[in-house]
Parts: sequence; structure tokens; C-alpha cells
Amino acid sequence: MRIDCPFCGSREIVEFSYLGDAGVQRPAPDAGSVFTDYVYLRDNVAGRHREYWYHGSGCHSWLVVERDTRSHEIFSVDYAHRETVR
Amino acid sequence: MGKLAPRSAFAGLLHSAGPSAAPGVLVREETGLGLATVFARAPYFPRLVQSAYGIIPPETSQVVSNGAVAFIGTGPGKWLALSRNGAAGWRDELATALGVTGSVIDQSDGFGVLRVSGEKVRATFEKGFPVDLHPSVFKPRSVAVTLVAHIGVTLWQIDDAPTYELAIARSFAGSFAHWLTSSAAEFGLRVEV
Repeated sequence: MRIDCPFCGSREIVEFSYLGDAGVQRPAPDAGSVFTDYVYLRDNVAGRHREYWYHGSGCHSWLVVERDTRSHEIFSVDYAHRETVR
Repeated sequence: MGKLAPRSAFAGLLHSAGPSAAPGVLVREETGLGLATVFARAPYFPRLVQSAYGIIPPETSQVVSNGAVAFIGTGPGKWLALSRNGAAGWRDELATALGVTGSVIDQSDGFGVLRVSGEKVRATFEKGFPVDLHPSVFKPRSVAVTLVAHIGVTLWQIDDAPTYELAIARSFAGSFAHWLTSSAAEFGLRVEV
């Protein structure tokens, strides 16, 4: 699997670290059990999944990658942080 | 006890190897460079770099140089700033020129820099660099931040010969020298001083 980094170009998967689901939203600190769900509960998606990847051995950018978890086909790669795109 | 003296990152680590008659790869450590990691913090950062050094820091993985000073694009809003005028005062000079528009971190003792050239340099690098170095893709001024044998390397191309320079974290200098010596040995590696 290769990821097309918006800064570095196409790079091997060994240069990246996986963080996880890019779809979850951090709830308010006093949200109670909702916060527990946010920390621990994840869907085990078979198909298209938006996820965070970190290019730790390259440009050190956080990326959002949309990937098919069954085929590893990648549909899009963007910077995770809006301010990165200047 | 003897007097302490500065010691370059690759001192004593580079050794010629393989056929010596017509070595395919030439390597030289570039010493006495000023190096700093620079992060842009404000939109008018490029203008301050331009007024100080006459160059605009590239926004892509490219290197732009005025001969003495180079800005090597290593990430979005991030550069390795290199001065061939020496390490002394380089961080302070940059910090003064950029003011609040940039963050500057001295790396002059943090990285070792090698200049590598020769007929077989590309064939050698292809054994370890997981990036496309073909001349149609990776050209003079191109930059790649990547891993070679699990060692973090910042590589940039100087000219069409091709000549490359690369920066390696000082503590990995021995490991990288080992990789380079082993990989270039079949072509012949000559260490220049």
C-alpha cells in the first residue's frame, strides 16, 4: 500500500503511522457516557473509511485518507488541518 | 586532559571501499555549515526571507538557493535553512531576520551533511531510497524527506551530474555511513576531503 502525500508525493506505507477513525467528534468534557463511547467505541468498517495517517518519516503532516478497508484502494488524501493548506 | 575541539558528524566514519581505480561513487562531508529548522508563523514570512536573502522559500519539496544560503522544503510551512558561511551566529541571524514570523531551531550540530556524486550514485541510492530518483522525476532542486535502511534522510539534488546532498541526524551518521559503504562498494566508493 502506498499513500499519495500532498506534500511528498507517493510514498510507502512504512513512512506513515495510523491513528484511526477520522469521523469521530470529541464531545464536551461533561458529556458522561458519550465521552466513554468516543474514547473506546469504534466501528469495524468493511468498505470506505476516513482515517488519520501521520507522515512521520516524511513531511510530518497529519493526513485524512479515505480508504477501502477491504481492497486498500485509496479514494482521497488531504491535509487533516485546514491551516496546512495556505 | 586535551583541549576540546569540534568534531564533525562523520569524522572517522567514512572509508573508501571496493574498486579504487575508477570509483563510481564519490562522497565528501560538508563541514562548517549553518543549519536550522525554520517554521513559518505568519503570512509575511516569505517576504522577510526574500528581503534578507533574495530568495523565496519554496512551498513544495524543492530547494531554493542564492549560492550561500538555501531553503530546503521539508514539509508544509517548514524548511531546513542552510548557510555555507559557517555555523557561528546562523540561528541568531535567521531569528533576527524573521522576527515573529518564523520559529528557528539551530541544527548545525544536529545534522551531518554529505555531498555524494559519481557515475553510479543513482544506482547506489536506488538500493535504499524508496523514492523515484529517475531524472525525469527527481531533478536538480528536488527534495525528498524519507527513510533509508530505517534512517531518516533529507535528500536534495544539486545538479544534473547528478550531485546530491543529504542531511542525516548526527546520531545516525555511523549507521548511514555503513549503509552507504556497503551499497556503493560494488561500484567503488572514494572518500574525498
